[in-house]
Amino acid sequence: MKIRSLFFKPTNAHVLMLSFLLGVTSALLFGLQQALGSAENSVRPALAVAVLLQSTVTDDQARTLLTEAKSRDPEVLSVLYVSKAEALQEASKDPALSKSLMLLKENPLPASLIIRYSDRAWMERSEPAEPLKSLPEVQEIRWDAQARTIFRSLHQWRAWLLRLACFAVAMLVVWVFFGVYRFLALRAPLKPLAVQIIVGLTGGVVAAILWAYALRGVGMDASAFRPTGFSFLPLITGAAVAIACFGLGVYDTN
Amino acid sequence: MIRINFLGSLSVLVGTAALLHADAYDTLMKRYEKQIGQQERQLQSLRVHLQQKERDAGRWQQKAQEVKTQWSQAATASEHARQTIQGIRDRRAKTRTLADAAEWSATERTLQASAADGQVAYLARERYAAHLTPPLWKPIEVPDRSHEFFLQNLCLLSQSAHQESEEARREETTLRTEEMRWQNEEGQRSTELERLRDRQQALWLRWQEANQKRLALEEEKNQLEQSEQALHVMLNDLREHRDHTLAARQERSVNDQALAALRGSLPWPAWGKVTQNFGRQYSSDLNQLVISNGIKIETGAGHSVRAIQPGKVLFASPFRQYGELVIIQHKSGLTSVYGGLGQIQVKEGNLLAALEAVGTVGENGAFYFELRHDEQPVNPLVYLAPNHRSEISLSLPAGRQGGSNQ
Repeated sequence: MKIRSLFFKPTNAHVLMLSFLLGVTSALLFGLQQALGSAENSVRPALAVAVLLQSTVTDDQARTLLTEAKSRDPEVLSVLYVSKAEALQEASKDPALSKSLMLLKENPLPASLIIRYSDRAWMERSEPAEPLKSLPEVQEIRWDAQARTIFRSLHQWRAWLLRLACFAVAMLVVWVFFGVYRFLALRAPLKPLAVQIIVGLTGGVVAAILWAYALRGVGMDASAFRPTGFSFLPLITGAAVAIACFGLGVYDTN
Repeated sequence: MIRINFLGSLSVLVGTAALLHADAYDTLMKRYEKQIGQQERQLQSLRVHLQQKERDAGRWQQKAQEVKTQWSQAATASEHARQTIQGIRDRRAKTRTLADAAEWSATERTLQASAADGQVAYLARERYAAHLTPPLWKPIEVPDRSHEFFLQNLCLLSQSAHQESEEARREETTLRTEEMRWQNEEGQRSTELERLRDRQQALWLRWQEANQKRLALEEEKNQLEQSEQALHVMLNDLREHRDHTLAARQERSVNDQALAALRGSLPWPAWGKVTQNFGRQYSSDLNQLVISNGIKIETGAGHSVRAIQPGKVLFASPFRQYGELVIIQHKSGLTSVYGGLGQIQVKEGNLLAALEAVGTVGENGAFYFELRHDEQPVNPLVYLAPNHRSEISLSLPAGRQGGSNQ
C-alpha cells in the first residue's frame, strides 16, 4: 500500500480524535497537578509555628530548647531562634510599634522559636507543635490554622489527581502494550504503525496548540501550566494512543 | 553610906538655894566680871555677825530680784518661741497635707501610666506575635487600623500619665523638701525652746535658792537678834547679880556679927526630945558610925513645926527619904531645913514670920531639923535656946559634939 492511501483511511480520523482528546486530558491532568503543587508551595511559607517563650528564659536556655526540639521531633525541618533583642529590633521596623516600644521601659516582646514542620506533620497531627505544649519554658504556641486547612485541602486534591493520572497512565500503558505486541510479536507491518503514530502525533500537537490558545484566551496566567515537558506530553500521549489503537486492530492493515 | 549620899544631895539643894548669899564674894565677883566680859564680847561679835547677815540677806534679796527679772524675760522668750513653733507646726502640717495629696496624685498617675504601659506592652506583643505568624489571607481592600489607632491612643495616654506623674512627683518632692525644712526649723525652735525652758528652770531654782538663802539669813538674823536680846537680858542679870553680890558683900560683916549674936537665942521649931544629935555618931540600927548634918526631934504626931526666924520659903515639896521637906532662907544668913514632916502648910516663895507654922509632924512623931550657914551645916543646938538642952536623951559621942560649930 502506498503511504498516501494509508493517510487517508477513514479510521485515521478516529485515531486523530482520540489522540486529540487524550492529549488534552493529559495536558489538563498535568497542568492541574502543577497548579496544585504551585499552590501548595505558595501556602507552605505560612505553615510556620511560632513558639513564644517565657520572659524568664535566657538565651542559653532557649538555645538548649532549640536543640532539644530539633532532636526530639523528626518532623521538624528547621528551627530559628529569635531573641528578645532581635525581636525588638525586628518590631522597631514597624512604624506603628516603634513608638510604643520606645515608650516602654522594658522590652515586652518575648523570645521565640520559629519552627517549620514537614508536610506529614501538618497533615497528620492535630497540633503540629504538640510535643512542645507541655514544656514550662513555652508561653504560647501560634500557627495559622487557616493556612493549614488550605494546605491540607490542596494536598489532598493533588494526591487524588495524582492517583487518577497514574491510573490513566497505567491504562494507556496496557493499551500501548497491545500495539507493541502486535508489531513485535505478530509481525505487523511498520508503515501503517508509522502512519498512525504520525496521525496520533498530529492529534497531540493540535491538542497542545489548542490548550495553549485556550489558556491564553481565557486570560489565565498559564505559567503554571507550562512546565518544561508540557509541550511534549500531548504529543507523547497522541503517539501512545496511536500505538494502542494499532494494537487493538481498529485499523485495516490491508 | 547611902544616907551620906542623900545628905550630900540635900547639901547641893540647900547650897544652890543659898548661892546668892554665899560667902565667896571675891570668887563670885571675879566670875561675874569674867562672864560679863565674855557676854559683852559675845554680844559685840553677835552684832558684827548680825550686820554681816543683814548685808548678806540684802545681797541675796537683790540677787533674787535679778534672777526673778531674768526668769520673767526667759518666760516671755519661751512663750514667744512656743507660739513660733506652733505656727511652724501648722505650716508644716499644711505642707504635709499638700505633699500627701501630690503623692496620691502621683500614685494615681503612675498606676494609670502602668496600666497604659501594660496595655501597650500587650498590644505590642500581640502585634509582634501576629507578625511572626502572618495570616495567609489578608484583607487588602479595607485594612484594619483600629489596632494601630488604639495603640496610638494608649501611647498618648501613657505619655501624658507619665508626664503628669513626673510633675506630681516633682511637686511632691518640692513639698517634702519644704516639709523637711519646716521640720528642721521646728526642731531648731524646739531645741531653743528647751534651752529657754532649761534656763527658766535653772533661773527658777536659782530664785528659789536665793529666796531660801535670804529666808535662812533672815531666820539667822532673827535668831541673832533674839540671842542679842537674850544676851542683853543675861548681861543685865549678871550686872544685877554682880551689884547684888557687891551689896551683899558689904552687908556680910554685919550679918556675921548678927549671926554670932544669934547663938543660943533661936526658938525651937517644936517642943520635943532630940532623938538624933548633930555630927558623927553610932547608929544602933545600922550598926555603924553615921554623920548627921542636923538633929531629929521627937514631938508626937500632929504637932506644929514652926519657922525659927522670919524668912522666905525656898523649897516646900517631898524630897527623897526626907519626905515632906521645907527649906527657909533667913535674912540672918541662916538656912533652916525641916524634913520628915507629915504635912506642909507653906508654899515656895512664901514670906514667913518667926514661929509661923510650916507644917505638922508625921505619924512617926518625929521630924528632922538642920541649920546651914554659907552652905555649911552648923549645929542647931548651938543656936537654939539652951533651956531645951536638958531634953537631949541621947548620949553624945566623944569628940564630935559641936564639931562644926562656929
